[in-house]
Amino acid sequence: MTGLLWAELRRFGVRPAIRWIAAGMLAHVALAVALTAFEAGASTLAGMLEQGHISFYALASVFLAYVAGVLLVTGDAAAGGTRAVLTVEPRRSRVYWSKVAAAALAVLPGVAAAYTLLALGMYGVHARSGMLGAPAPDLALALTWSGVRVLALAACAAAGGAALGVLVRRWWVAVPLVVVWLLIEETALSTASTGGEWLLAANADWWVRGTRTVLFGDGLLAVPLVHGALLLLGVTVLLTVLGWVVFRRRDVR
Amino acid sequence: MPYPVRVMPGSDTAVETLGLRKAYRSVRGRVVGVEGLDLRVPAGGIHALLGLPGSGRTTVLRLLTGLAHADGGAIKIFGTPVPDGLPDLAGRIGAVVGEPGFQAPLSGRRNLALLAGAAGVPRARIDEVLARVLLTDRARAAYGTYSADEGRRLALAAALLRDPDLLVVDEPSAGLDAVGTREIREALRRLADQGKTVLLATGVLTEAQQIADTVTVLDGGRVLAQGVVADLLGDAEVSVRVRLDEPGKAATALRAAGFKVRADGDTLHVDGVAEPSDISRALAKQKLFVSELAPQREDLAAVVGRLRPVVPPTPEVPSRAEERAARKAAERQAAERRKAADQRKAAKEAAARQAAADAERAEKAAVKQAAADERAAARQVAADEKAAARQAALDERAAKKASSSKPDATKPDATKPDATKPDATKLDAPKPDAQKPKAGSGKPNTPKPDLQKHKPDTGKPGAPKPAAPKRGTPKPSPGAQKPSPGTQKPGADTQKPHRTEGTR
Repeated sequence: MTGLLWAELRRFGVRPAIRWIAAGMLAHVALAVALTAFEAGASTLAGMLEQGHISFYALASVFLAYVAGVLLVTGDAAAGGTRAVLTVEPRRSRVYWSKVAAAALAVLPGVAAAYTLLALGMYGVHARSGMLGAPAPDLALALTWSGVRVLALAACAAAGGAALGVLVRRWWVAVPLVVVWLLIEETALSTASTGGEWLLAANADWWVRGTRTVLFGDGLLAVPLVHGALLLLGVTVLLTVLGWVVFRRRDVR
Repeated sequence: MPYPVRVMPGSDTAVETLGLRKAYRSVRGRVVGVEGLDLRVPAGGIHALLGLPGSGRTTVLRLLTGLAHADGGAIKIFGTPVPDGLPDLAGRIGAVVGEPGFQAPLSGRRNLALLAGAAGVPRARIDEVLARVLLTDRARAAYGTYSADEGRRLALAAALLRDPDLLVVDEPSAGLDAVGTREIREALRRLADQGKTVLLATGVLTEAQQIADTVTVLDGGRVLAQGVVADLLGDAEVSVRVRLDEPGKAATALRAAGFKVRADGDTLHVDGVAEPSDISRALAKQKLFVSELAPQREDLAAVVGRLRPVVPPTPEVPSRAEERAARKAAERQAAERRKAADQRKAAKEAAARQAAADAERAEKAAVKQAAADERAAARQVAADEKAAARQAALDERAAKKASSSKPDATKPDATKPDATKPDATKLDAPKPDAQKPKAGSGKPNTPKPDLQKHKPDTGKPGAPKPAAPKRGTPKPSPGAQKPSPGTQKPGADTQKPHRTEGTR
């Protein structure tokens, strides 16, 4: 299993698309920091954390992690690699779970680097202009925990992306599928009076921000952090199990 | 277990399949990959799966290696059922099926290392297999820089990583040049000589003839023939193309020598030749010398065509749904035919009735007309006679007057008719045959009296006036007066003057 995982990680690492995605993550957060630097006095860092600006920038990296997970299992190179691996290791379950695990692990360095750049950049920009808005140790702790949660979410997104890639077998189906879903959530479902607590994007945002309470309809949604974690983990597990069932039964191209 | 294992246990064959079935389903429909395949690959040596494109040879390899799942049937490799037993066979099977999916930026050795890591094979084995496929020198070069045959050999090396007992290779020489083809074939032959079982799928007849020991010829997913290559393909007949100056004379000479000759313009094709030199010898005896003598080996299509059993075309048994549909269609057609026949019959009867009614009506009208004509003629005769009598009386009276004033010798003879006046009785008498309808014409041949003849000379003083129409004069029947547009006949128009005559 370790050999399989290592082989998948190496295969993941040498794909040019993955390198482009990592570069995209870094470029995005660098741009966000640069834009903030021009308006450093607009809001404090504590305010940005509270209002979800930091989580918004971090969630872009999570989406790119999902794309990376999809690309690990789709395309001709991935299909050829899967075929080659299955001829030496015919246990399909092992092959599948190694791919999912490789996707989850492989995105961590890129996301970690991007988030570190984001956090340090934002901290530096606001500290320089004296707009931290909270004691430095508290801010550092909040940013660190937020980073850990972003990493966990990115791993889930990449694993889910790999599972969805196995299910639909085409990256140009799997990636737009999530984009369309997020757009539907943003436009149609977010305006609905009920069911808002089940939106993926909203839960991801609560999770990254570490939201403690959310005002919802007639009352408060207690511990949205845990709610979001459970929901996102459940969706990931559901997708990966579904992908496993399909991968075991389906012919390899 | 996805399907029951029905393979005989304890066999000495490397691969055995029984009733193997696989179909691919897509939006375009169902395509049969293999259908009831019974394959037997003996352990050791090279076994070729030979077939035209679409015969199912790659599908067989995919099923054997677990890349595809069979719809039915059973597979045993070294006595172990597949795909359930594939994990147990993992170290005993190596396969090159399709593109190997190597990473272009990595070297050949690194690519093998990835697979070796996945398969749990020690690194030292990588150098061994690279040496075996003669790639040691290129091991550190990036895979993207490999030629086609180097890529093939690297794939072969990957398949040999676990030192398998069975090597499955799909299209070993596809895309290779002559040198690469020879090298890969030699590599496979060497492996077989080392005691491995090599199962290769190929569409190249000469490849199977050159390196395979046994062969299975596939066609449409079924086994056409299975056996030793020399038996199945070795006796492949040779056709020889012959060109010379006098093809007609040469054809006659070759036929006389017992050859099967086909003429194609200036070229002759001699089929079923064991030794091409026999042809030149036979022609030389007739002092005919060839300009070209080219033996043409039988191609795979010809082999498949030769091995394909000639099955008399049997009518396809329709399904129940098709039978039902055909029965309904036949019933519908019969009902339509019956309906059409009834309609035709009804129309015919209606036309006959109409024709009979028309004929009857015409006959009645003719009879009535004839009677009216007869009556009119009789009246005319009577009137003429009356007028003649009156005229005679007047003449007599005038004669009497004259005789009373003149002597008797000058008196004309009153008893003699007046020669200057026409004999009205003769002119007006109707012809007897004109009053009767002509036989067979179906319409009355009504007389057409000459009105000029009947017209009294009114210019003459004392001429009788025409009789006024009398009440109760018989008229033609309404049917004759107003014939229907469809049934109107020329005879009906001719009745009008008669009516005028009749009413006069």
